[in-house]
Amino acid sequence: MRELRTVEDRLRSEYFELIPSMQRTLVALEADVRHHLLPVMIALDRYEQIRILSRLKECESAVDSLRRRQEGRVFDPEKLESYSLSSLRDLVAVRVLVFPSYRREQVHMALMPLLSDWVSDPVPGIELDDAPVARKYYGRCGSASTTLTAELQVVSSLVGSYWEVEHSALYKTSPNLQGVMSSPSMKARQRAVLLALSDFETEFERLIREAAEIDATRAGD
Amino acid sequence: MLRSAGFRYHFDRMAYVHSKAKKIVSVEAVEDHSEDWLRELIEQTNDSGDWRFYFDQPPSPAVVQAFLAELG
Repeated sequence: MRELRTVEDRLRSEYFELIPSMQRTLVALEADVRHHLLPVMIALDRYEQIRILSRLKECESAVDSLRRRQEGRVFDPEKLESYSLSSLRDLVAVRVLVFPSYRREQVHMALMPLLSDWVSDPVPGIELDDAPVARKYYGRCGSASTTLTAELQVVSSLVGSYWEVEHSALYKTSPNLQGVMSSPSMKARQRAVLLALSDFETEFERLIREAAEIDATRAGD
Repeated sequence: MLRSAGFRYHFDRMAYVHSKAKKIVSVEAVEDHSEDWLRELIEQTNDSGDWRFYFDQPPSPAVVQAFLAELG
C-alpha cells in the first residue's frame, strides 16, 4: 500500500473508519433525547418550540478542528501518531433549540437522567463576567455501545439559529475563517449580537405573557 | 496592546505577527500570560534578523516552516 504522506491524509483515512461508529452514536443519542423530551414536547403551547438537530462533523471540518487545537494551527509531521479525530468531543452532536426560556430549564431537567455520567461544559459568554450562552455536555452514549464521545447542547432557539446561519454563511466553505472570531474586534461584535438576541427574546416573552394574561382576564369576565 | 504596538492578527494561524520586528505571538501565549509579559515582549528589541516565536510550547520545525513560508 502507498504510504500516507501527511497528517491530514492519515486523519481523513481515520475519519472514514470512524463513520459507522459515528452514525450509530448519532442515531442512538437522538433517539434517547427524543424519548426523554417527549413529555415536555407534547405539552408545548402553540408558540413554544423544541427543535432537535443532530449532525456528524464533516471530514474536513473535523481535520481542521483538530488542526486549530495546535498552537500555530499546524500539525507536526514528527508527531503523526499522536493525532486522532476520536479525541474530538463533537464528532457527533445533538443540539436542542428551545423557546421560550422557561422551557429550556424543563428540557434540561428532562435530559438529566441521560446526562448523569456526562461532563458539563457550558458554552461560555464572550467576556469572563458574561453568563454562559448555552448548556453543553459531553460523554458517551450508553445505548450506542461505541467508544466515541458525543456532545449535547441545550440552547435558545434564537442563538442556535444565529449559530446555524453564521456557520453556513461564514465558515462552511472556509473553516480556517473561524480564527477570525478569536480576534478582539470580532469578539466585541459577537457579544453585541448575543446580547441583542437575549434582549429580543426577553421582550418577546414578556409581551406573550402580557397577551396571555389579557386573554385570561377576558375569559374570566 | 499588541495592535497598537504594530502587531497584526493572523486569523488562519491564530497568532499576532509584527513583520518589522519579526515577532510572532500565539493566541494561547497571550491568554496564558500577564500584561507585563506582553509589554516586555513588545519592548524587547530583535536585532537577530530571525523571526522570534512567543509560544506556550516551543514551535516545532513544521510550525516555523509554515509561518516562514507565508511571511517570507
